[in-house]
Amino acid sequence: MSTGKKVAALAAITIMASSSFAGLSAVHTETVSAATKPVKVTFWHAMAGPYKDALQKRIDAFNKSQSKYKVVATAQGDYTTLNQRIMAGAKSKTLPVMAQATYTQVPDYVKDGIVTSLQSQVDGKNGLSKKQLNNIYSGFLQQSKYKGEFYSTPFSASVREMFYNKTLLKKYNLSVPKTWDDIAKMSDVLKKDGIATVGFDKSFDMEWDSMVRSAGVSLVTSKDKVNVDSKKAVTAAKLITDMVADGTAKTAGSDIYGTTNFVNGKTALTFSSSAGITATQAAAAKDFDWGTAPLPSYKGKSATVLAGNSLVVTATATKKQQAGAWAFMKYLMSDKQTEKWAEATGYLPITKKATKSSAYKAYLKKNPLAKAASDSLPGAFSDTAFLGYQDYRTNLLNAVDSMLTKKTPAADALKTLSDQTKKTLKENK
Amino acid sequence: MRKTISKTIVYLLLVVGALTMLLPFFWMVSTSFKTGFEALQTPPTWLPKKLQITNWISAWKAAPFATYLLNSVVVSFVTTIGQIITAIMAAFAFAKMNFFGKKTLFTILLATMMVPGEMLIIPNFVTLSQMHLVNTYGALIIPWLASFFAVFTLRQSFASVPDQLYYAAKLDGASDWKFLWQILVPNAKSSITAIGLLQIIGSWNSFMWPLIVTNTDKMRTLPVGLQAFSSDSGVNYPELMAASTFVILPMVILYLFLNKYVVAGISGGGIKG
Amino acid sequence: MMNNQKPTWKQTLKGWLYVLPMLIIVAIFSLYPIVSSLAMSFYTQYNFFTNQVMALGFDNFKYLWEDPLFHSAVANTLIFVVGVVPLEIVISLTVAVLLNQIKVLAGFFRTIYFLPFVTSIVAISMVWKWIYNKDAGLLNYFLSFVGIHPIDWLNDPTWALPALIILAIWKSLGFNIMLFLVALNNVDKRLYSAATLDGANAWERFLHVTVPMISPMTFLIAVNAVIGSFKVFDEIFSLFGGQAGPGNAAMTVVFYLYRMFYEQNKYGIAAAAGVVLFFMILIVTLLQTWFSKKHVHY
Repeated sequence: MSTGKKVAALAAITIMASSSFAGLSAVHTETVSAATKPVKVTFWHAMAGPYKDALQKRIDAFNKSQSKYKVVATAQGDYTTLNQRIMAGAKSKTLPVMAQATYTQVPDYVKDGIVTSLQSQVDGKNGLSKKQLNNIYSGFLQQSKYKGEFYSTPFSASVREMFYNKTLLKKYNLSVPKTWDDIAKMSDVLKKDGIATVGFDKSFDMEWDSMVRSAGVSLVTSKDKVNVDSKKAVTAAKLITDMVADGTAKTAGSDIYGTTNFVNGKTALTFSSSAGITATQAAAAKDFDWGTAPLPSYKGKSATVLAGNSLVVTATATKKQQAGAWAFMKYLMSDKQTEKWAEATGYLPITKKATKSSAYKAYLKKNPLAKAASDSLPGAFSDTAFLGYQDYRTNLLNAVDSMLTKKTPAADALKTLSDQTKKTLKENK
Repeated sequence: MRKTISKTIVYLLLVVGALTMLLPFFWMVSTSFKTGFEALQTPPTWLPKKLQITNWISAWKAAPFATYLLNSVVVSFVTTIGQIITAIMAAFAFAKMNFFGKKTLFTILLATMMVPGEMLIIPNFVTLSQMHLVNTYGALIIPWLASFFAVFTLRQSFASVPDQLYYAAKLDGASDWKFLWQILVPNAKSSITAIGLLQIIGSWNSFMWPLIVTNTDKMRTLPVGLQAFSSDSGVNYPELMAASTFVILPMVILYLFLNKYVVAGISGGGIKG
Repeated sequence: MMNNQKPTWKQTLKGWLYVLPMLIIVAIFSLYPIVSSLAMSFYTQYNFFTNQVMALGFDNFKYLWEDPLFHSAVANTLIFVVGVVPLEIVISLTVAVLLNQIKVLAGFFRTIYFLPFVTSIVAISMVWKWIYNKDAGLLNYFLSFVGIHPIDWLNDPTWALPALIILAIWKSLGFNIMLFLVALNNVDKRLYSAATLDGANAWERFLHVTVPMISPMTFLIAVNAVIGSFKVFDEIFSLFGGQAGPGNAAMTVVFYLYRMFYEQNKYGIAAAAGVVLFFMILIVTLLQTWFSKKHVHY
């Protein structure tokens, strides 16, 4: 081969390689449009396994129910990956029309121009009436709003609740605890046999948050006041860390979820997301007898923090797509749909009527374990979402972690958290 | 006699080491046949009380694994072949040719090896979306068609082939191109196989990148399927372990197959210093 | 190499053409993002999504200088590198030498030692979590035979890093063993015979023939292991469930970068951390190269 031929060969290889990839890419570019076709509403979510199937059923139902819009959903991994995916999508301007997101993420998404306000949709022709809004539990409405405007709608909602081991309680002749004091008393009996009364997940932040709220304090108020190291907050945290120190309570550590200890009879109770029922059932032996109850009350009150994910609409979506996304969101919030979704997944129905519907009541009768969650709903609350919440959450988990693994006194760890949170709020002003 | 004793000790040490290496795999396979409860039981059981074959069936059904498998095979093979070709050509230039800017270029490229990949994910995603390649094989393949690590390793191996051979070939009228493919490449078979193996494994197990650049199940690869078993409230360990086993298995088989070539190549040169 | 010849224009053209296919890919997917992150490390007020830069400066580096978490990330990374690299080299060389002495079942053993390297870390870390479990874990079970009390490997800040080091060594051993085997096979057998004739015993032969003869490979493995260890991330992410270990005990520079970028959206600081890491690796690699010039025999 001469030099010229070689160069030609080289060039040919390069061109062939690049053109074959161009060909590959062309095959998979999907074509949309044609005026008669329904508006395509792309939707990214983080549901996996049976949850994903249940969601697909609701989507199919929506697509069948009307002909104007077509929702096309894709799973994007877990919540962390979904968030990364959204960031990458925002940076490259390839966002879907709608997505699942935690409501605490909303302020950051608003600042970065990723999501759009839903206020005009709520107020609009196809909006929500006062009556319809009143039908939604206040905790959910609270988390849907940021700076007084609607930015998200509640979707996959769960609460913290208590699981208890019926066999163990019977064996030691104990009743289901209703207050944190009851738990302390139980421990006297159980500790002797090496059983911890309470099991937490890796972190106890959600139980702590709920206790502080029961005591009438919000960790960070909507007016940006930081109460994480207030007297009541420190007392509640100390109660938990003391329990862990004296063996009354056990945290899950590297197991992440308290389920492992609970199903192995190492803890008599465990705190979990209400969505954890399915996972606990799967992990438990067939003859494992257990029940669910709302979180124990603290200082005479019982509050529980809402978890789970909401739905948002992206700012890059066209008017038509936004209307389509909203139609789907509204559809999901209808009594019938939210009830069906709750039945299939163990997440909570978001409207009062759905909870009271005969279908849901029949479901609860068949699945008594699911009852505690809807019983908890009246006392359910949401955290204040603020710009920099992710920062705050990382620091909060660090604070809890340092109380548990480095035995930092609650007052010190929370003081640090308070300083960090104030700084976060200031930076994001 | 002394020889037998020392041989015995050698084997003994190797067996102990091998057991350490194998244990996690044994556990993985054993757990995949347990019930959810037995998987979390303390103290653990070594072998499942009763084989739960259903775990494997439901694991396979939990995600479109057949599609994932096909994609994994396509992506790892194409990237590996691409990477080997680009590396062979570049390594040849760096090892046997003399050109302006060679040293500078080599140093700059060497420096790229010192940057963590986590930093490159988002910028590369943006680049690919500008090329309209997101959610295509292109996105999964093109960025991995070249690796400086492969060039770096191959250069070492090419450099060990005496320059005299190069001159002799040139005197015989062989072109650079011919010399590269007919003399250098066969000489470095084992290191090329090693590099290929390394790349194929990396591509096969890569998790974050396929997840970020693909939107639909049609385009995803095997490790992505592993997260179908975790939810926000727990993990289905037996099914996850079953799925892990069938994600790993093809690579083990491939290694068993390629192993021969790596060893066969050793006598003919190999990665030499 | 043909350093005695001066490059001609024709040769230069040819050389660049051979390098070109690799260079195009690397330039687009490595060089360009690296340069843009380098620039990003100086953006102090920046909208990531619109690419608007409002202010430039050294604030990001100042932040790192003052952040105690970053300091511990640097310290942990160094401990990790020092903990992993020497052990990895010694163990893989030992296994390679042992494997090199046997014929029966050699392929079988080689495969077993290579298995961890083939494995997806996402999958196998689940098993390691169980091995490290305090009450039911296998490691504590074995340690109890020698009278060591149960260690809470994954929840005790003191032991989190050692646990990570063990996993990392286990995972990467196979590849290094393979490379060492290649090098050992390339050592001229006549050198051993000559040494034996001179009366050298097995240990002396190893020290005076094997070690110098395989030193270029040892150097390659060391450089590679150092760079890989500095960049450790996947193992931490999988082993500690997306966290940096108890009390951030396994916080490394890359994990810090990841957290700043993806969790806290502080892009400039993340980029600055990447720049610091780059220089850390560069310095160590230069030291290694300088050391190798004295001790590696080509």
